[in-house]
Amino acid sequence: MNRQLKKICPTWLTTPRRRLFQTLCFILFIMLFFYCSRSCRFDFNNENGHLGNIELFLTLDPLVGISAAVASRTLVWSLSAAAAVLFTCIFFPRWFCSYACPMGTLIDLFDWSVGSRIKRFRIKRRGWWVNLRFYLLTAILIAAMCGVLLSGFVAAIPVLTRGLLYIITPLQYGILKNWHSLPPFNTAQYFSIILFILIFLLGLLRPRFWCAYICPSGALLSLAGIFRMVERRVDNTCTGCSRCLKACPFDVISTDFSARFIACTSCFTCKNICGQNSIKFVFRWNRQKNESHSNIPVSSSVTRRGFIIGSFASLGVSTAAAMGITLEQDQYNQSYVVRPPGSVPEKLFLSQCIRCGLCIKVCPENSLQPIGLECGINGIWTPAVKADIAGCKPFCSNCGQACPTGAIRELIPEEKKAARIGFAVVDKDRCLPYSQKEPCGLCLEACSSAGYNAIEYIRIGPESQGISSAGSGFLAPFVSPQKCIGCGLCQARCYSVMVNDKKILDRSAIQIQAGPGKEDRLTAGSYLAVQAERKKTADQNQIKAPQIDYLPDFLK
Amino acid sequence: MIKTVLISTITLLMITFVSSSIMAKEKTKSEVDDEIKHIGSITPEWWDSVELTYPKTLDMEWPVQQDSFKGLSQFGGQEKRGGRGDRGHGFPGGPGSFGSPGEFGDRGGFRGPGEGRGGEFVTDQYSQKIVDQYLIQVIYPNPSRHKEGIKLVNHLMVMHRDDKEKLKRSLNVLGYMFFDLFDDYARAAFWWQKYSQMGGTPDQLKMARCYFELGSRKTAAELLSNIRDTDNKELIKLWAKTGEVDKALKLIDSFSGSKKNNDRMRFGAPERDPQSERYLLAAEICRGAGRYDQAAAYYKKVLGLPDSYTSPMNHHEIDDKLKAKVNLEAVKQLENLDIKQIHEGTYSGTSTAYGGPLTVQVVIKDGIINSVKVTEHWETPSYMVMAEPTARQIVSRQSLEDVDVITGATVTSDAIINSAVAAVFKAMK
Repeated sequence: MNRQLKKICPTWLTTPRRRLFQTLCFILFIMLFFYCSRSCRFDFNNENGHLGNIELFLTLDPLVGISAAVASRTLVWSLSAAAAVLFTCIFFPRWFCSYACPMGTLIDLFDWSVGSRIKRFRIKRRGWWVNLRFYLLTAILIAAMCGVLLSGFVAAIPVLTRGLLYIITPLQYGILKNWHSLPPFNTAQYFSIILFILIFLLGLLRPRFWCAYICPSGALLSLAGIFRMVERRVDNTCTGCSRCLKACPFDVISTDFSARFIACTSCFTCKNICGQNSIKFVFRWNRQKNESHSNIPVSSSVTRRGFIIGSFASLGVSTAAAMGITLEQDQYNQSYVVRPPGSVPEKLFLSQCIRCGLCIKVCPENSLQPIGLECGINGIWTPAVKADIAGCKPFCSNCGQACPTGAIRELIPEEKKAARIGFAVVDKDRCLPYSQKEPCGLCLEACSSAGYNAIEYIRIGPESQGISSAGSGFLAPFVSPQKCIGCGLCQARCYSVMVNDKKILDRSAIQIQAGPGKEDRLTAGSYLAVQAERKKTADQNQIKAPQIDYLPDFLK
Repeated sequence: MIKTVLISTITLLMITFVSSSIMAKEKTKSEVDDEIKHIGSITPEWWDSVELTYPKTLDMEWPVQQDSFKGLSQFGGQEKRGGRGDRGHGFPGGPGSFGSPGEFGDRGGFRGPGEGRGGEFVTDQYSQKIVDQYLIQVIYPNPSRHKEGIKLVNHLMVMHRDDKEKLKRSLNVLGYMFFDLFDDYARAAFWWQKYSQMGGTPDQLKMARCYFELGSRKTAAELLSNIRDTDNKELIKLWAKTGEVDKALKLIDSFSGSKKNNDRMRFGAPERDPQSERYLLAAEICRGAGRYDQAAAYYKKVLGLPDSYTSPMNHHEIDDKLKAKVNLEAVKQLENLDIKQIHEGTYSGTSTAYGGPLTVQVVIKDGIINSVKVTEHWETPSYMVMAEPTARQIVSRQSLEDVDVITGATVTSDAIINSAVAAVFKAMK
């Protein structure tokens, strides 16, 4: 059995515990991502139906919490998880990358199955990219300080969740349900898929090329390793066989067998593979006599010139990006998209949303979809309610539960039903009763069966003066601004019947619109209170009549 | 076994007895008047639980020149089931068609709800200003507002108790509202009687309907015979219901088609010869009276008409010929149907509605129709919801003949009855 194992996956023999842990973590991640989010789809009406910690791995990625907190200048709750992970890195520098990170595991799988077979693109030597991840990290943090969140583009876990969401979820949906009602793809999604695939293709250059040189989340973990307590030492029993050099998955060991401590992930592969048992991981302050090789890390990779150029480049790029995006954001402010219920105000939302796509994943009817460039580059991959596909279910607050950064607040069902995300506007040229073509009450039905009762009929006569006679004209929908919360059930209904089935209209005649005055977005506090307030102001335009008798005395 | 048969026979007997006794009992005018006076003066049980709020902008002075509420008479009860803005079967140009467009022309352009000043949220200026418009545009179309509508008019009545004209108007309007929105014939008649005591003349056709529904066919017929303008579908139908089928059939000859024709012309569609509508109406009346031979003959006449008379004018109508064909089948089956000879089991029947075939499943147990369920249909959901009471009525009345067709969802409702007929017909074999 050992021989078989050695043949198929030799690393299992050298570091069995690591591999086991890695596998378990990966299975946990996949379970959380696909199973938990699936099972909740069936009991979203259940008030106690909680999603489980589907966002667990996202919160463990320290860059997610920290960059979101810096960009939004708020205390994001996942900061605590990030701090915990960084703290453990003092004992086991950068353990997350080799033990827990599902992205790393997936890359390992790819390298093992594909990468090891294609040798054409392998490069032997280290190059300018060795410290790229630090420059990327710097760029991201500077941009975050300018209020722009870029980590979603490159941080390990968001890239992975997005990749799975855009590649596997459609397949899952298509195979398990049907291919026809698959939500349409946009360019931004293709771009994300390409990014995801590129990361794996990088593995053809060197195993775990992405993790070792590019991943900024890993860079952050490396930085925590500066305060490490444990260090790798080589003693003078070393024979120079260079097995460790070849085995190291992260290209940490130099030709003199010393390690670039900042890159080491505490995977212990070198320790276990050493025939002489000359590699030890000891406390930093334990100086041993028989050390042969200089263990003071050679800063060969960081040249002064590289450092200066790199830091200036990252500084320049990030400021330019931040300024460009902020400028553009102002420009695009006119086009509002409908955000998920419980979303914080737009500016804060954009600086907190990590673009992981979890909310989109857990949305039971696929009504949340990633947007492309509708809100500028800064809005790419952020979630929006596409009510043409489906409306937002009255009791579901899955998206809020799944959000790792608090860009979408978790709401209790009562609050959810009061959280106004938009307002349904009737397109009078398209709406059949308004344009005096046909009677129709689809939107009203959808609204009242969901319990909102926000749409009422109003008789619209054909006379252009607006005087309707009793028997003439049609009953058209009228949306009450006090009751409508913009769930989009009406739009979904109109779209599916009038556009999809009957093909009478080119787009839904009732559209959810967001924007100032049409949505409430609170960072804290109760939506119910806001709704009550809104109702109160509306009541000021109403007169309340006193109770009188059905049959007054003067008529008796 | 014997026990079940016994029980079922007894139930059946009881049902027939009770229903026939209800049908047969003719009350005198004074009996009905007493009932009207008694029931009409009882406060409805929902009265105290409903709060009245109305828009600030509403002109509660209720000026006389806006009096057009009679226009409401153009739609009977069909609006209350919510949904269909059918044009109704009112009298063409009957009493109180609303002011001609030019009349209010100086009031400025039309603003629909949602495009008024200051954004999206301003409702139609007339519907929020003029009481009658508020009732027509906002109260009438929304079942949830019917009760508060009654209270609003009641409020107006008390407010204007010293102004005789306005008081009269409010009494009349209350009659209309109880009639149209609640099918509350006793209260409607009660308020109309108050109205006539003040010197007004209530709508005779509706008064006749009230007396008919409350159990006095004779008084209803008397009132009907006073109505000069007989070119009215509802009037003709009511004549037939009071038992004067031949008279109704005679009146049909001078029937000039329902208002739908006028509406069509407004939208540019050509006017249609009302002959096919006359035949269909006649057939419906004959069918209702149990004269299946005659009904079948009328349906056949429709089938013989040129297509230009019967083809649909817009795509929410169906071809008159199709209607006739489907009903002809049902009538033929009805003719041979004996509801007492049905066998136990589950049967399904199919007929044609707007969207296409509509299938109904009928469960017959212990000799009675146990349930009627629509199993397959292609109807717009709103129509289906409106037509659903039909299926329930078949069960509650244990009859396929004495079932009300829901105005506003006529075709769907008809299709349910016809499918049920087909299903029960199968149960006989």
